[in-house]
Amino acid sequence: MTPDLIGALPAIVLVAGALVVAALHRISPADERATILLGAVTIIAAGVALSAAPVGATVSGLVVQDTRSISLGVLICAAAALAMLADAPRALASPAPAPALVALALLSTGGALMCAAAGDLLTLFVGLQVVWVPLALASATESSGRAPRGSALVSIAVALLFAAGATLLFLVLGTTQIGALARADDRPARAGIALVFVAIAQSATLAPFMLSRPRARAIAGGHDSIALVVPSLAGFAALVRVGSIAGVNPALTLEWSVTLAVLAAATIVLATLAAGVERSLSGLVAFAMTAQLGIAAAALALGNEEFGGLFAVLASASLATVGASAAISGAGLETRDALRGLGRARPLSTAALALVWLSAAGVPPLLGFAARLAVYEAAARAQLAWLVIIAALASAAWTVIALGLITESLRDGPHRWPAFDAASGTALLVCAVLVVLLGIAPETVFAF
Amino acid sequence: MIATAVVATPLIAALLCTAPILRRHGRWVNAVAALISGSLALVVLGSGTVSAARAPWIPTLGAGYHVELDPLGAIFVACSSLLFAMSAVMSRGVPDARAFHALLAVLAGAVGGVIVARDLFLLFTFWELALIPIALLGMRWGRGMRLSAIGGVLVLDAVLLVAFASIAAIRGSADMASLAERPLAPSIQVLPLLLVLPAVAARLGVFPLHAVTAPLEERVPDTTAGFAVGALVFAAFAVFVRVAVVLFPDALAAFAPGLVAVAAIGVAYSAAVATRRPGARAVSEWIGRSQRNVAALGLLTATLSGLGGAALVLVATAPSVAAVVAAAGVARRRPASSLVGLAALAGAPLTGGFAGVLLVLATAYVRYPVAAAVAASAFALWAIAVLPVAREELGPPRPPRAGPRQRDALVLVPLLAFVVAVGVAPSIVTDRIPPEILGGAAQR
Repeated sequence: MTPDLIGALPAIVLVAGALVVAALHRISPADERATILLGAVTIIAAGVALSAAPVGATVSGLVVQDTRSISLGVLICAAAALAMLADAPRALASPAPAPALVALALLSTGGALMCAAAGDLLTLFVGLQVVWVPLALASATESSGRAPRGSALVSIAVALLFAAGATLLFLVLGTTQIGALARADDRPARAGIALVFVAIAQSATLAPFMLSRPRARAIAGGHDSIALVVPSLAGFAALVRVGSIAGVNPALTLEWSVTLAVLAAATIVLATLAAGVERSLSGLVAFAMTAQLGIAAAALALGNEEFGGLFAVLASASLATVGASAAISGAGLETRDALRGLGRARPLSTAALALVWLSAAGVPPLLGFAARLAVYEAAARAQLAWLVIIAALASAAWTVIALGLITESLRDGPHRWPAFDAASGTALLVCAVLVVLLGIAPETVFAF
Repeated sequence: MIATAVVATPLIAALLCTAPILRRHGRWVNAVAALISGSLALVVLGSGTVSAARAPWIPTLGAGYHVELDPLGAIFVACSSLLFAMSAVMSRGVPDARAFHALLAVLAGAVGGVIVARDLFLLFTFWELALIPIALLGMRWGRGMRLSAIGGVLVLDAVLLVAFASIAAIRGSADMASLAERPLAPSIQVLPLLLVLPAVAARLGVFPLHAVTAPLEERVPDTTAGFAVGALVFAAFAVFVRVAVVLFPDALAAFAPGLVAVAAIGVAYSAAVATRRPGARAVSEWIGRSQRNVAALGLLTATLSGLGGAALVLVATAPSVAAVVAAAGVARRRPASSLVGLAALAGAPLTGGFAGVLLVLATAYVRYPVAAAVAASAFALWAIAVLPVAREELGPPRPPRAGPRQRDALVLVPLLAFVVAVGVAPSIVTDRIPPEILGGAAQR
């Protein structure tokens, strides 16, 4: 097999999987739950193929497989597979056929992998669209063809911004290769990078672009956690690709770092404040993920050397989001009050949910704490103590929120609970075990 | 090995408490775990050796697994184990017992971890971990603890973490031993100390930051009140002695006079408040706070005798509070428990409270005579506060109330014996303060 083919193998696996699922549904409508499992297995297979890919494989420069793209790709696959299991109850209850949703989720994951391995702005553009379009279609199929207009307009505007930025860069640099950004030092080139950055930051859920984030739930259809996790990871993967070049360009380093640091702080603060008044659990999960992505942005602002910390934060955010979403969909939880009685009825699930929430808040000795610590230490070294203080105080606020949720679940409540969905229960337990094990031995994650 | 076992034993007990097969026996699982931890601590105390363990943990962050149990730490572990046992055995019939006892065991493990940790990040891990069970015990099983009660503590802990991260970033290591070998320059000790002290002061209950932890202490269930207080103050003592004194000696010396004045005011203030509070629990909590301010006074003298006195006060205060609260309402049937506890809180001779407070005041008087004089007024105020409680507890017959049973003497007796023992023979504690704690400036 040529290096080109090996480099594209994970995406090929996912696209093929999507086609197979769609075809199987047409030919012989199978058990929808089995289809969801097939989708998760397909994503895992793509992740395995990715981890076996040799470093340096390219598809004519459009795709680059270095250690970072492989690491991020494996994370995307792991998170997407768990998210697919976590979302199973909602997908099964959705008006749209579950196999269609699975196929669209596989495509979206494939798009995220393209973003992680993009060597060219065209690949990045296609990847981002392949991430968002299937999710929008999933929402369209659920709402009988009426996709939320506002969300569609935002998506189009973002795509146009990216296209404009890429076009500007092509006109200035003569190429759309990401590596060429290293010599972008004049005003038109910086404008092009800025436009591309805005488009990517929207996907990565950074402030103020996160204000359009609730649309993720509107367009998610039956895939709440996939719609939260996959686009965010794709956005950060894109930021890593662009930032690894733009960040070392002497003309851009300071702007890149300062911009990201400020956006990181704003993201953390806004998400934390919004969580204080959020009543729905799904909304809390979304804001918790956003706050953690703010910390990831802080890690990105610190430069290419802090990839380990960035990876740890992204992993922690993904596990916490998927785990919490799994509990919400598995037990049919809508608001905080709905948690009452969960502790007595489902003690194991409650314990797992507690661990996931505490990890999201950054409580030791869980993965969220270790990940934050890496960023804090690096930020302290970079004289960004103000950013550390903001992040640490936000972590304190999230700990209060997490303790409130745990206490609510320990209170008396309804004596009859529906059976916890097996798929989402499995996803929750896996996430809980991982946040504990990786928190005790985080070096495993930092080594990526 | 022993140092690790002291931490691991309660954490294993926490897991066992959640097992369905042991759901009715959580109290005794915890009691056994406490017995094991306490016995291990006594082994170290008796042998006078130091048990240590080192292993790599997070090399990327300069963090390592470094724990050490010396005789001084062993005293705190022993005291903590007694409080753990008492809380576990006396907490019968609690709803959701599995979760309750598991949280209690996690708290015990976390307290042990703070005492033995010799790495900043490892210490913070256990420091923060101790707070979670206290908060959950108070909010679910306690006296109406609100979420806002924990917010203040978490904010101070966040600031503490910033300090630790900054120190590790500057020095490239979070290991306390290696940090102590290369102290920070005096000019850059001030800021980290200002970030560390508030969190320590809040948990120690030092005026005016006692208001931060008071909502936590006052809302936990009665049977865990003493344990929660002990958890907070033992952790604070460990951080002050192992971090503040060792890493920021010059800055601490510069701020000491002001801090001593504040602590002295805290002693008198808390004692005065105690005279106005109704009920055994409230009085014992406020007298306990007053005595903890005395301990702070001793710590700030930066002398071996001051540290010894502070340690004595702290290991006597928590059990005294525990005994009084646990025996409250049933003193007519358990007069000895209540009497000894109240006497210790009032600073009566032959109790740990008396010996420790006297040692601190005598040491403080050399350098800070005014502060010592102000603090000494607390003796009278404690007695004034205790007398109405004693009269109520030992007074005319009242309708019977649920309270400690016969077999609860199993844990109350050792607890009170401990309080008397450290009062009769304070050298058990004071002789365990290693001179090297204060570096080259050790003074008697």
